[in-house]
Amino acid sequence: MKQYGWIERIAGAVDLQDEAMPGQPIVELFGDGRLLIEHHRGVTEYGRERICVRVRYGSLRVCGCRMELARMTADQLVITGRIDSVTLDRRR
Amino acid sequence: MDLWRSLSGVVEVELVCADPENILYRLNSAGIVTYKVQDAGTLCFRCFIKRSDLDRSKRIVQKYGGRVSCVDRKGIYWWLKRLLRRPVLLSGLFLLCFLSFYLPTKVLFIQVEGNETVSSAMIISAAADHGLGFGSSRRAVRSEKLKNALLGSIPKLQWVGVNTYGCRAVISVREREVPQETPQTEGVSSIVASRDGVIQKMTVIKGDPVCQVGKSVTEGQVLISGYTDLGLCIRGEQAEGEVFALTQRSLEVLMPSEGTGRGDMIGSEKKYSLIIGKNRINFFKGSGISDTTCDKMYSEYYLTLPGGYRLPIAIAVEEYGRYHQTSVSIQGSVAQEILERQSAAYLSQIMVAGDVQRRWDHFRPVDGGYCLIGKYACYEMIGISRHEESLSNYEDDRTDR
Repeated sequence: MKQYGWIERIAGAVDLQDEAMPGQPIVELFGDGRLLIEHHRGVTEYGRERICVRVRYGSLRVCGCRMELARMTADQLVITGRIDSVTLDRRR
Repeated sequence: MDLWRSLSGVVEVELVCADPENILYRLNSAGIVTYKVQDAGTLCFRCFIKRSDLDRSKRIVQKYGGRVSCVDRKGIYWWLKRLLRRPVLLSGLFLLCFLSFYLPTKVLFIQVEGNETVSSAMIISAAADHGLGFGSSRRAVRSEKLKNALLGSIPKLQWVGVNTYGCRAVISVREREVPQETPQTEGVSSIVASRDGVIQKMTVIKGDPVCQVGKSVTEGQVLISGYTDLGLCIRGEQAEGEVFALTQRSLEVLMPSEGTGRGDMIGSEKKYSLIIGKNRINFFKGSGISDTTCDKMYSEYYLTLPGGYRLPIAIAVEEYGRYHQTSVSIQGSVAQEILERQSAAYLSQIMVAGDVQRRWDHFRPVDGGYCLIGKYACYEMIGISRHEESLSNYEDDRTDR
């Protein structure tokens, strides 16, 4: 069972669980050609077919083809190309 | 690549290290934005970073045992920097831009259309006197003002319009129509003799003939009268007809026995001038021909653009040829032939119609030349029209008295 932090507990108490909390990763998929990941913690694997991005809860595995990191800053990461799947591998 | 990034300049770098993913994260954590990250092989990434981040990224990568090398430079910044290294091209581009904006404000070519009898050169010259010339400003061209000025300068013009198209000014003109001289159809006229003679042939179309074939007439005598007596009244009209008569003419023609002629050529010389608009710059001293021993050939070569547009810049070439002066004496037989030919040509020129029937020539040398005295019997048209005073005016004059 997930142990929530104090911020999540406060958000749950005031009924704001659906809103983004500070530091929480946000993954937005625009169609099937552009993926925006906010609050990432770096790339762990990079290739044309698979890109793994470390986030707070584990690793985000993006599979597709002809993918590339279009833009990468300390907070944001934009992946372009044909995206087939986005999987969160939760940290044990 | 967006415009701002292109203006500030980006560089394509190659990252080679043991853990390129980690290096990317370290770069991002240091505030360096990476674009278009590509896997370029084992332990090697390629990406774009800002020009200003290159030195910092090198330090960070070296810190983690990696290496950063610049592969390519892209963006407007680098393009401008490369351009600055080519001053000739840059100055040419600046000049082109300047001329693109400056030249359309000036008139470089002037065309004239619609003129038939008035020469284009005269119109262009008059327009130049009133402010429309080579290099004059388009804004200064006022069609109405120029129209009035040109109409005042050239009375043969009825209308003038000036339009400008880019560097070209077109002067459209319409010339004043000259009224055709129509034969006088009103009044009374008679056919009279232009000189003394004996009438040989007479053709009357209108009017009353007052002389017959075979009669001698004097100059000014009425041959066909415009007034016809009809018994109860007198009809006035314009007499028409032809009257041929035998006449006599005398001529005395003279020519010198010696003259000067052109001999062998001594040499030639070319003189050049530069014509810019109405100004001429001579590249030689003196001008003109001092005597008759040389002749002059003059040519102008204008600078013409493709399409037939002529610039007012020309090279003028004057070629002088010098000759020996020789004296020529004319033989008597040759002189007689020349004088007879000259007298025949002169007679045919002064007669309205007809020819020379007989001739009595007397050729003799005179002091310093030759003389031909000739008498000629001519068969020629002597009838000319003369306007008569109408009878009504005559009666009015009598009433006044």
